Amino acid sequence: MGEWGFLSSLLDKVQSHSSVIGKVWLSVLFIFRIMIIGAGADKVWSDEQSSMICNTKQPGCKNVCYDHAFPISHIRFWVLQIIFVSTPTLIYLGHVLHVIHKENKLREYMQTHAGETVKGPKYTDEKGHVKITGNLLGTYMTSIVFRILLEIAFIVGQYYLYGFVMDPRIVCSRAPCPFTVECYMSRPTEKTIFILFMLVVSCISLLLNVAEIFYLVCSRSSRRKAKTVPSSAIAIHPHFNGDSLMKNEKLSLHDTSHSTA
Amino acid sequence: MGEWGFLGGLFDSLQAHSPMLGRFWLLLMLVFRILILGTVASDLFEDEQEEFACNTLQPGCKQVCYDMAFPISQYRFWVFHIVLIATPSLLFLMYAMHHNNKRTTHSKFRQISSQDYREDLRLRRLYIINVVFRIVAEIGFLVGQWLIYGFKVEAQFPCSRFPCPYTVDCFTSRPAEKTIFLCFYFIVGLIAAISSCAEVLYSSMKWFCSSRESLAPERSCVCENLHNSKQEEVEAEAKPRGRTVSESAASSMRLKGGSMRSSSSRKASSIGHKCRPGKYVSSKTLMV
Repeated sequence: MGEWGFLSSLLDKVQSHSSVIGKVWLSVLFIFRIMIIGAGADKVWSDEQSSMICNTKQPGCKNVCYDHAFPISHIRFWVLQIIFVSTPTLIYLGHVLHVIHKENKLREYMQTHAGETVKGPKYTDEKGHVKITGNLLGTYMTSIVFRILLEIAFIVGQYYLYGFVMDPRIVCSRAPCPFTVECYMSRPTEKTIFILFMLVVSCISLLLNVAEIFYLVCSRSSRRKAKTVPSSAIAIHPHFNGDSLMKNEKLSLHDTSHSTA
Repeated sequence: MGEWGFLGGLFDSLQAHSPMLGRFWLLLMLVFRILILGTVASDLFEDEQEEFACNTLQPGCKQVCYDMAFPISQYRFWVFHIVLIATPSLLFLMYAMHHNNKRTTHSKFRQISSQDYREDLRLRRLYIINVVFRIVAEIGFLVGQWLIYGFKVEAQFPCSRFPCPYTVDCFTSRPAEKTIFLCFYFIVGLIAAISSCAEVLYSSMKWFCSSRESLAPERSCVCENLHNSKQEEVEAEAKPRGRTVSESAASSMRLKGGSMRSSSSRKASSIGHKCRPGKYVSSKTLMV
């Protein structure tokens, strides 16, 4: 499935601007979801409709019973899940690239106008590494929150559509089927295995996202705590006021902070 | 379907030449349309005719009823949709690249001239025209999809075309799933049309309204961007082809603040990108 290349290349770009847990989440997405769908799950669901048998010869009954039992096939559902869950990340990528571009312009401006006092670049350093702070951190956390909400929505949606175990027998009484007929799906056990596997992967992704939120919040609050200067320190150096000390602390902390990636 | 790789590659190079809203549209195209079409929709519509069942044994009836129910399969309709909607953007891309090649073979001197500005202005106008055509195509296909398919695929399709005896009932395959994707593509088309409209309004306001009001101060900033981008060009590989592109790119970059991206490199975070060797990189700075 070469079409996943688009999404893969975009998500690859995000990887360098994510935290550690974010990178793990992306790897889980690639390996345990996209690859599994492309390599294995496709084949299991390929004969979903052709191998379904109903105990009636009524023309059209099999079609409507299949449609009633599977309003959307699992494969398509998972593909939509992957795409929707990746979308907040792609929007974050757009913001990152925008920020990088603006800071590059700022650097050029600063180089040509060396004498002017201009606010320095906030997010990037000389090597091009991006720090996730401020607005960028806000966007990042918003994207994680949306990811969490979408994952939960899809897991709950899957539960309500199909449950988590495939029963081989489908009971159907939709027109034009005469009264009630029984239909039998193909490969129910194999499908159950894949469904449970994808469910576990979704839950792991969800937990990773939640952990990432906690990680970012904790690292941010620990940074904030380190920033506050004790009042005794200010008293020792009377010619410094609290503001300038705080500012110096802030700058040095921004330089040395490793909480991002 | 590996055929989408070619179009995907072209879209990738278009990404480096678009403002932010344009990139959002490209994201929609690539991820929500081509990806869905290639991975999901091809399987969905594969057995469309085999599983189409009519309650008659009359030979030929199923064929003619299927033909009446689906004059063109939704899948093929969406393939046309993607190709025709991509066409204005790709034509613009081809024109811009061709024009760069032509210009750099003619002018070897690096001077900011009024011709550059006119060229810049022309490129911007062409980009706006390209987006307008895109909007027309999007709306056209939205209306076409609504007229041909509506918003629902019926499970049952009564058919009375020769040679079917009187009226027979035919049953489509996977109608609910197809309805979901019909609505999905419609919504994506709607969002794409709205974002293209927003892009046109925003870009015209930025480029044409503000440029008429204050040309002088803008010129100095544009000169600056052109200077900087020229220096980078000299530092990089001195590929003449990309210069005019990056000039007009730099001037428009300042105006719309789109982020710079090179399509040949996969890591977008380094500042050194601009100086990275590779003629593709230098020519891939923002054009519009």
